[in-house]
Amino acid sequence: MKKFLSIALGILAAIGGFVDIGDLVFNVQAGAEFGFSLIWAVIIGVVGIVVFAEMCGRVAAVTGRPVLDVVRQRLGFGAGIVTLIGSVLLSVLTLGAEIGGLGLVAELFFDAPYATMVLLGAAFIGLVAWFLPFEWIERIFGYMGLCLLVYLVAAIDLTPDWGAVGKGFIPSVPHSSIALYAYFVVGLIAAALMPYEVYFYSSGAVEERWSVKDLNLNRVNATLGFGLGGLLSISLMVVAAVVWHPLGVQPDMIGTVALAANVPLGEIGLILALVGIAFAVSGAAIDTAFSAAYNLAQFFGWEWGKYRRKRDAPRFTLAWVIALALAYVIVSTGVDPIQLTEYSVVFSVVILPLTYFPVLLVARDRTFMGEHVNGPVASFFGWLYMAIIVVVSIAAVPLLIATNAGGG
Amino acid sequence: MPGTWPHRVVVVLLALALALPLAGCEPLSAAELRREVDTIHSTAAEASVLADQIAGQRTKRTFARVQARELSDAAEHSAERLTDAHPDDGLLSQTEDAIDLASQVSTAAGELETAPDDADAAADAAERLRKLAAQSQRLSESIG
Repeated sequence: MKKFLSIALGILAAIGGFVDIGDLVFNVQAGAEFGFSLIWAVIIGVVGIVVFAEMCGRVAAVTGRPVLDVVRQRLGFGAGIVTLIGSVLLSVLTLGAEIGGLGLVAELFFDAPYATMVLLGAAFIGLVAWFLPFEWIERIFGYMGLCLLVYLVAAIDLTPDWGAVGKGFIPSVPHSSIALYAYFVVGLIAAALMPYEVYFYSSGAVEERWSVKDLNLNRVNATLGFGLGGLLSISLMVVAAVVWHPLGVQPDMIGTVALAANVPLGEIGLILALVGIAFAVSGAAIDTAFSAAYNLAQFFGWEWGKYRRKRDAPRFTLAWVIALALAYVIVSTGVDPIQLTEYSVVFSVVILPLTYFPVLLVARDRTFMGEHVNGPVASFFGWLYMAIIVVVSIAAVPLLIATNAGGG
Repeated sequence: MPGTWPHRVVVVLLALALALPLAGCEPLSAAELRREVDTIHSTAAEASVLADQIAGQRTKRTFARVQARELSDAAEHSAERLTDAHPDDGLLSQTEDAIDLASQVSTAAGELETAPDDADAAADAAERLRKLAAQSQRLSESIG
C-alpha cells in the first residue's frame, strides 16, 4: 500500500511538472491561431516523450548510465561535445525563459516592477535548489503545478464543440497559412520533446539508484506521468481555442494565458492559473539548471548529484549556480521571455537527433541491456520517432525564419 | 587616388554605412500594415475581455492593472511603429486610421489600468474596445 501510494504521488508530481513555459506558450498560441486543429501535434509530441523517457529511464536503471554518458559513449567525443554544448546552451536559454516567466507571473500577482521580480525569482530558484532535497523539489513543484488542472476544468466548463475537439485528434492541412501551421506543428512537438526533460529524468533515475526492479515504476511514471501531463497541454489549447480563437486574439503575454482561465471560472480560476504557472515554470527552471550541470559533470567525469553533499560535488554545484547566473543575466537584458521561449524551443529541435539517437541505439543493444533490450513495440516507436525528429529538426529553422517566429 | 583598392574599400564602406540606416526606412508594405492592424485588433479584443472581467468584478485587482498596462503599452508601441513607418503609395490613409485606432485602444486600456476597481468605467471601456476591435478588423480586411 505504501509503495502504491509512493508511485501515485510520483505520478501526480510528474503530471504537475510536465508543463513548462514552452508548453504554455505554444499550446495557447496554437489554440488561439488554429482552434482545435493542432491537438494531433500535441499527441505526437506527448507519445514521443513517453517513448523516449521510458527508454532513457530503462537504460539508466539497467546500465546505471544517464543520457549524456550514453551519447558520449555511442557517438564519441566529437559528436558528444557538440551535443553537450548545444544542450547546455539550450538549458541556459530555457532557464532564462522560465525565470522571465516567473518574473512576469510575479508582476501580475504583486504589481511590482518586472526587473525586481526577475531578480527575486532567480534568487528564489537558487535558494530552493541549494537548500531543498531532490525529492522535496520534485514533489512540491509537481503538486503545486497541478493547479494547472484549472485549465482542464475550464475546458469542460466552456462546453466546447466536442465533435470539433475530436476532429483535432486527426491530422489535417489548413487551406491557408500552411507555413504558420507547420511552424506550430514543429513547436508543439519540440515543446513536448525538450531534451532537458530526458537529461533530468535519466539523471534523477541514476540519483535515486534505480535498478531493474524499478522498470515497472519507470514504465508507469513515463506513461502516466508524461501522458496525463499531455492532457494539461491539450486543455490549454482547448481553452485558448474557445476563448481567444473566435476573437482573433494573438496571445503573446503570460497574462493572456492566465486571463483565459479567468473568463470561465472567475477570480479563483485566475489565481489557480497564476499559481500553477508560477510553480510549473519554477520547477522547470530548477530542472533546466540541474540538467545543464548534470550534462557538464557527466561529460567531464566530475562527481555529480543532488543527493551528494555540496562539498563532495563542488563542480556540479558550481555549474548549476553559474547556469542560473547566466540565465539571469540573459533575461535581465530586457529580452522578451516569450520570444526567448519560442527560440529555445525551436532551436532545441536541432539537437533532438543527437540526444535521442544514441539512446535508441543503446536501448536496442543486447550487450548493454541484456533481456531488457527494446521489444518490438519500443523499437517500432523508437524508429518512427527518430524519423519524425529528423524531419522536424530539418524543418524547424527554415519555418522559424519563414513565419517570423510565428508572427505570420 | 581614384580607382586604387584603398579608395574602393572606402567607397564600399561609405555605401554600406549609408545603406544600413536606409534599410530601416524601407516602405511599409500592405502585408506589414495588415499584420500591425491585426495586432491592434488582437490587443483591443483582449482588452475588451479584460474590461468585461473588471466590470463583472470577477478578476484580481493587481492582475487587471498590470495586464491593462501591458495592453495599453502594446497598442502605444503599435501606434509608434506606424508613425515611424513610411507607407507605400495608397496606404497613407489606412496607416493614419491604424494609428488613430491604436491610440484609442491604448487610451481605453490605460483607463482600465488607472481604475481597475471601477466596474462602470470598465463596462464603458469594454463597449468602446469591442467597437475598436471591430473597426480594426474591418480596416485589416480593407487592406489589399
